[in-house]
Amino acid sequence: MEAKMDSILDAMMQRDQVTGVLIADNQGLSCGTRGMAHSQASGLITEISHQAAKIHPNLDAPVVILESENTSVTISKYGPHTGAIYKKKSPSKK
Amino acid sequence: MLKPKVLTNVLSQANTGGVENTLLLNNDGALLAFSGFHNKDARITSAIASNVWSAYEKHGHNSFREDPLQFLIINCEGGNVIVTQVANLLLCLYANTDNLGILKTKISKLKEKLEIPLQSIQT
Amino acid sequence: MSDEVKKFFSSLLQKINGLKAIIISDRDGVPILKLSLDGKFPELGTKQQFLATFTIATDQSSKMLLGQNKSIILMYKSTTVVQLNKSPLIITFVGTENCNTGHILSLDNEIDKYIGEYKVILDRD
Repeated sequence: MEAKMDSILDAMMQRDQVTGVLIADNQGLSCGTRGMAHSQASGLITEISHQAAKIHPNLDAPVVILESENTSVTISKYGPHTGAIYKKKSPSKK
Repeated sequence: MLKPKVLTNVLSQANTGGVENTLLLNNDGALLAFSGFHNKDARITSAIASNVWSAYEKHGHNSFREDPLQFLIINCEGGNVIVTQVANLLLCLYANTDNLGILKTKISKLKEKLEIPLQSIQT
Repeated sequence: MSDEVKKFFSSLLQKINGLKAIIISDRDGVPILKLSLDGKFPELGTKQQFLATFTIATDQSSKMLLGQNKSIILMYKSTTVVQLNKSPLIITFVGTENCNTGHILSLDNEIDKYIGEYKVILDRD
């Protein structure tokens, strides 16, 4: 039943530097995860997207990028679903 | 008439991605149709699922504003059970996954498929 | 309950999208702490009779060969209720149909830190 979603998640994981993928529904419940993305994070990821959308309520929810030293997490919303992509950051050029 | 084999086939479509059993039961908890891996647990699951469903379902009718119960999720250490009503029966997925969103999507899709065929055998 | 515990649960009401009320009760559904976003409590999911439904439900659910029951989620047409098993306490969250249920469930460990001492006190009684 979820074969299509599974193949999308697997394809995302094949991309360069991607270390994790997560899809959550509008109630913050996890629909699927891969790699370092944990289903426990789905509520918080949905909440971040929801809060960020309040900045400009009349526009679509913005893409939110969380950066830490080694990882970036890109969060974006598509209809009732929120997606997150975890990426390993490329070493900074000096 | 409803073909039992076709019904079991439809139920079995949900048995992927950690879903171990898909059950169809009446409101008294009697198992009507089953597809999955362990038959033994199915009777225990259906008895408990229907008990918990009816305990909470009645609260949706108690208040002066009707608020019918649509989904019940029983979240345990080793997995989850999700329940919904289809016609006058209960549909139930027994799963070892924590991905509650996909369980809800799957049970909703099955409900859509079964609603009309099951309504036609309602007494 | 201590100010610190109240403050923690009040902050959840602000933080979690769609959440309207939180009730901490004993196994009989008698409230120990009642918090709501606007001072009003929804009709469904907050009455003692409803809260106590969880006691039997969680005990039965622990017999489904899936281990101990952690929580029960009820999705009514326009109300979501999450009841957490923190025996001997029950923590009930009541929100809208779009309430961020996943966020509530992920707070499980954090909640333990705040209510641990109350569990010990009630267990002694």
